[in-house]
Amino acid sequence: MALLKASLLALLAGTGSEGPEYPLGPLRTPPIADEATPFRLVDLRYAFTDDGNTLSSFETRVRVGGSLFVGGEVIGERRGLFADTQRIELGVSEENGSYEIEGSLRAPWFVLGTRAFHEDGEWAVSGAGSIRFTDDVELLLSHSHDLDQSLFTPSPVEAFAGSGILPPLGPPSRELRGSSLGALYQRGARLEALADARISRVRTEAGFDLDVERYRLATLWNPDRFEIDGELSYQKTSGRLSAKDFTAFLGIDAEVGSYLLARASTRQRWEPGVLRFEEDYRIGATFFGRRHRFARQSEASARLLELQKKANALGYNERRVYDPEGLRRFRERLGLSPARLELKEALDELYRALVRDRNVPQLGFEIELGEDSILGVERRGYRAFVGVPWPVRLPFLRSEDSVEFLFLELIVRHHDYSGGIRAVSRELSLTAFLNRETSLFFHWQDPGFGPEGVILERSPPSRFTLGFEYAMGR
Amino acid sequence: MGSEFGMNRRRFLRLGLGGLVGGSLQTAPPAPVPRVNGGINIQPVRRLDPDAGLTPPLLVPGVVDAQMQALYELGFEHVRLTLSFDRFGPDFVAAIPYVRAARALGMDVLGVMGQFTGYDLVQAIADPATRDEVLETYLDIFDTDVLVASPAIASSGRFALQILNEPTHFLGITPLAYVRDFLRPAYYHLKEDDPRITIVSAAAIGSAAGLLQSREMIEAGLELYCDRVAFHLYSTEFLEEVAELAEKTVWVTESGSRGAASHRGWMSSTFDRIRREVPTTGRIFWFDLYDRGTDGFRLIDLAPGLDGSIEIAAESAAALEWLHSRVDEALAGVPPVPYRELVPDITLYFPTEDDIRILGATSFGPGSWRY
Repeated sequence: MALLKASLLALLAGTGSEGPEYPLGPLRTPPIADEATPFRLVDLRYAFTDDGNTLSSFETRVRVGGSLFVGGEVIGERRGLFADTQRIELGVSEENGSYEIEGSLRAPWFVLGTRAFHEDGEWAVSGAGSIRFTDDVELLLSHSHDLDQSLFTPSPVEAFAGSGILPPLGPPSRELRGSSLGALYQRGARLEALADARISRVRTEAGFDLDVERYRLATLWNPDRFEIDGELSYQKTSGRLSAKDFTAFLGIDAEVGSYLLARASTRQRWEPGVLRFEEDYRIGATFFGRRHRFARQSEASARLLELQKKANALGYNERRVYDPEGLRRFRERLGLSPARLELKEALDELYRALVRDRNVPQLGFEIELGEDSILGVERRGYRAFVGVPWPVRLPFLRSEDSVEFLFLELIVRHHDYSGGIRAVSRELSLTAFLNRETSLFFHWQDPGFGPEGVILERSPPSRFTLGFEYAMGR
Repeated sequence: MGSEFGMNRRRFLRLGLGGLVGGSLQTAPPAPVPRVNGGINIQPVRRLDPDAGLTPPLLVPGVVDAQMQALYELGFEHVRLTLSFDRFGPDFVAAIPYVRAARALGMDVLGVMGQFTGYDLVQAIADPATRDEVLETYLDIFDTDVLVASPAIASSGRFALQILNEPTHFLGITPLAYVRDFLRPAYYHLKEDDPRITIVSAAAIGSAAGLLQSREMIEAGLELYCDRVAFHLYSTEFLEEVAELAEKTVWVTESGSRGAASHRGWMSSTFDRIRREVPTTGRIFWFDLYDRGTDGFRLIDLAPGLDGSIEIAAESAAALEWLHSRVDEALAGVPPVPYRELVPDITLYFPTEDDIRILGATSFGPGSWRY
């Protein structure tokens, strides 16, 4: 308790502040490279969910000394413990008699991770890794193997006649084994390209096996005032259900002026000569209260590039990442490294650049249209949000000092099923960012009355979640 | 009774047995029309007026009789029709004479456990409290022994049950949910009550989307819970894919082409092509004998005659002629037993007091009928 109290006091006090003003005060630069004496709270999350049944989840993580994080989680029936150093990550969790063990090793030129899952007396193991050739090029490998090779055979009718209880279903279709090989190329901050292939054997719920080959090309290109991300994959299934299908995704974000970002995307799945069976189209726009910056064109991206080169020169084997959580993990690992004092200034500067580059979305909308011919459903969705910045001002005004404070989002989706049923789902969420690291959130979801609800004459329960999150250095 | 249902079928009979009887070998003893023309879908129509509600008569005998006569004289072997749950109301009861008369005439009947509109049936199957009662009642009413219409008919037709029709298209049920939540429980309950009954899976819609839905159903284990796998084929585009999908015997429970001009070609050459390219095909059911659409799929039209009788009109003349010619060939000059001799009174196959007692004992009844 003393530890928690001390950490929260430090947090609320905003020590070491030099950033923008938040409701909890000015932002500090988090002590990401500093040794803890002996502990420092770095993560604290609690959420309470009610959808007729209640679920509480609690996660916490502390830094121990200079080179270790330890943490634990209780999410409903799941209990987990984990410990991370810069190079080794270990985790174990248990839920209703099932165990999951994870571990990874980050060596100077490769990363190797493994996961083992034990359920009903059988193990499924998987491994994934990468080999680094340069700062920009990695070879990606993975393999998974389910040691449970048993074939499902349904119970005879006699068994049902004796008990009157419907026999259990077979296990859902699952991958028995699979291997993949790929390559990732990152050119500066503005271009990424991924190519990979995966070959797997899938045991279907029906009990027969399928051989699946998947080949994928993906890229992200951020030349100037727009960003394009695309992916094309081809999947060939051999066996009883032989098929060849393609999936394509294309998304474009474009800055319109300095404060407006427009986005359009589409995702298509089709089987040549048969049918385009999945379509999704989205279009939207966001108004930002500060000048918008793409993550890959910001000051932070330049610092990240520099820091990654330095880290790899030290043999730390780091990839450039641009999402907030990935960046936080990147900084944390370097903050645990033996060279943390040497890297401290660069890590702090990177954080301050991220804060300076922050985007503050204030008004936005998105419209989505989609169709899934296999499920026989057409979808229309509307998303709108409004963000009230701190210091509080109207959402359509601009200020370079503003930070995210309140964020209210509403999503409504209409699902029109072939049978004539229309299900309307609604989601509402409200997040209050007390500062960059600390937030409170509320989320409510009503899944709507679809065919299942009509058939079972039961409205699926609405669900709400209330939560608190503290993530040091976010 | 005979005059009450006396139907003016001159136009229909001219194409078939009318001409045949005149030219047959009068010395050979008459034989029932041989069953040589495969399967067909029929609609258990209650009345010809489109809005057949609860106003009497709930079921016009002449409408049943006309369709039965057409089925008999056209030599169909198998008949498929919807046994609309209808909370065991009029639409359910209406299927009784169709099923029994067809079986008495030696035709196998495939009943589709379905419902023309609404979700009552799938609700009843999904609910463990009513599932057994509903499935058992279907068997009690339709899966009972039927006496042949004449000793000359070797045996009465067998009864098979198909669990729902195009569930994703008509009800929005996903392929996976269909197999897990509807086919699987129905299979166990029905097989427990009658281990010999043939359970036929639902077919997906006869389109490219239906092919993909069928694939999902097979992957979800559809063949573990049925004896026959059904497809609807309204084109020949995906025969190769269909052939690869099912290991069990395939029943093409709907197939046909729109427009009377194409019917004969579809029945002759396309059905042959389906059998050739999908070698596991056991039965093909033409869609359909009669419906209310003009120049669509139906072979005949039904219309009220001036004397209150039901008149059969040949809608698809070339197809009917081809069907009749196959019957003629199989008869090889033997005179056919006229339909009226076999079925002097269609009401013999109408619901009995026992039927009403069985239906009345269920938790469904007139109070729950929805009109």
